Amino acid sequence: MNVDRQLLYETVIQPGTGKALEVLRGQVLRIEQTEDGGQCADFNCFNLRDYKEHFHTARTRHVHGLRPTTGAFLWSAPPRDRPIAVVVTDTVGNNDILYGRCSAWLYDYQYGLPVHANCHDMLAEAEREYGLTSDDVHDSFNFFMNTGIDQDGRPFIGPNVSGKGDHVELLALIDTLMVANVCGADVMATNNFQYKPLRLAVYAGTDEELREHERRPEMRPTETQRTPEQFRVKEVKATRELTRDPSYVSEFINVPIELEEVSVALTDEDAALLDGLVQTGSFGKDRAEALRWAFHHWWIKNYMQGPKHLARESAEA
Amino acid sequence: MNEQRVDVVLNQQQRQLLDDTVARFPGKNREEVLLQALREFAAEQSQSAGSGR
Ligand SMILES: [Zn+2]
Repeated sequence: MNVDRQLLYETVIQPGTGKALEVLRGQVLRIEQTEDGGQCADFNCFNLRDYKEHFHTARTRHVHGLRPTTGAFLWSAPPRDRPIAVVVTDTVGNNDILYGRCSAWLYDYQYGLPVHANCHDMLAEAEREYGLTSDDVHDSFNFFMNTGIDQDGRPFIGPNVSGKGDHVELLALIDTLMVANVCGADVMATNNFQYKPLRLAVYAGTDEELREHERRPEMRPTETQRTPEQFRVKEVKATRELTRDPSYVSEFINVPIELEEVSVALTDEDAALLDGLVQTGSFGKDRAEALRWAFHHWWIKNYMQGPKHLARESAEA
Repeated sequence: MNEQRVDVVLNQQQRQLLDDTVARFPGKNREEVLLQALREFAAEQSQSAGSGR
C-alpha cells in the first residue's frame, strides 16, 4: 500500500541487537532494509495489555501458508485465536514462519560456537525492557527470510533476495508490543552471510486501512475465541514448580465421545462407487469407512471456510 | 432384490455436522445426504483420475 504516513518514531537496530516497540491499535510498524538489503528480521508480537496473548506461527501457517505476505494476519495462539496484526505492505513477498528462531544452542551444536549472537537471546534482551523473561520469547515471524521445502519434505534456506529500501509494514489490530531483531544468522544463508542494520519506524495508520481489515470475515469475534475471564484458571502462574491440584476433576468437552452407526441402504451403483473408493487405498479399508471419507471430503470441499488443507488438487474449489 | 446396507460409524460431533448438513437440504434425510455426498465425491474423483491428475 502506498500511503503517505505520519512518522511517530524511528530507530535503526544494529547487528546483534533488537528493539521492542509499543505499536498501538491502528499504528503501523515498518521494518526496512538498509545498505544493500538482504537482512532477515526475526519478530515477536504481544498483546500490550496481556502479554500471555501473543503471535502464533502455527495458526498463521494454517490460515495463510508458509510464506505469509500482504494481507496475511498475524494470529494469536489458541484459545485467543484472533488476528492481532496484519501485513499491509510487503515489497519482497519472501517471509518465513516455518523456521524457529536461532538460539545459542543452535550455534553451539551446529557450529561449535557457544558464544554467538542469536535471535532468541536478542529477542529476550529486547523484551526484557518490558519485564519479560527469556521463556516468554515465542516462535518468530521471520521477515525477508527465503525458505522452502524440498521434494523430500526437508526445509531449506535460500539466499535473501531483499534489497535496499525493501520493507514490510504491519498494522496493529490491538495494542501491541512488537519486537524485531537483526537476525543473528551469519554462518547460514539467511542473511547472505553478512549482517546489516534494519530501520524500524512506527507510523500513524489511516482509519480507512484499519476499517478495511476490520471488515474481513476473520475479524468477526466468535464465542470460541476465549479470553482469560473464561479460563478455568484465570491467574498467571507465578511459581516455576508444577504441583498437582488434589481437587482437580477433569471437564473435557463432548466426553465421552460416543460412536453410533448410521445405517445406509445402497443401490448396486452406490456399492460399486464405494468399492471403487476402497480400491484406491486412499479412502479407508471398507465401504463404511469409504462412505465416511466421501462425506467429510465432500463437506470440506463444499462448505468449509478458509483454506481446505486437502491433499489432492481436485480439492481446491 | 439384494438390499445392501452399510453402517457408517460416526461420533456425536460428526453426526451433528451431518445433521446440520441435512438441514441444508429440505426434504432429505441422513441417508440421502450421505449418498449425495458419495455420488458427488466419487464423480469428482473419477474426473480427476480421468484427467490424469
Ligand atoms: Zn535468526
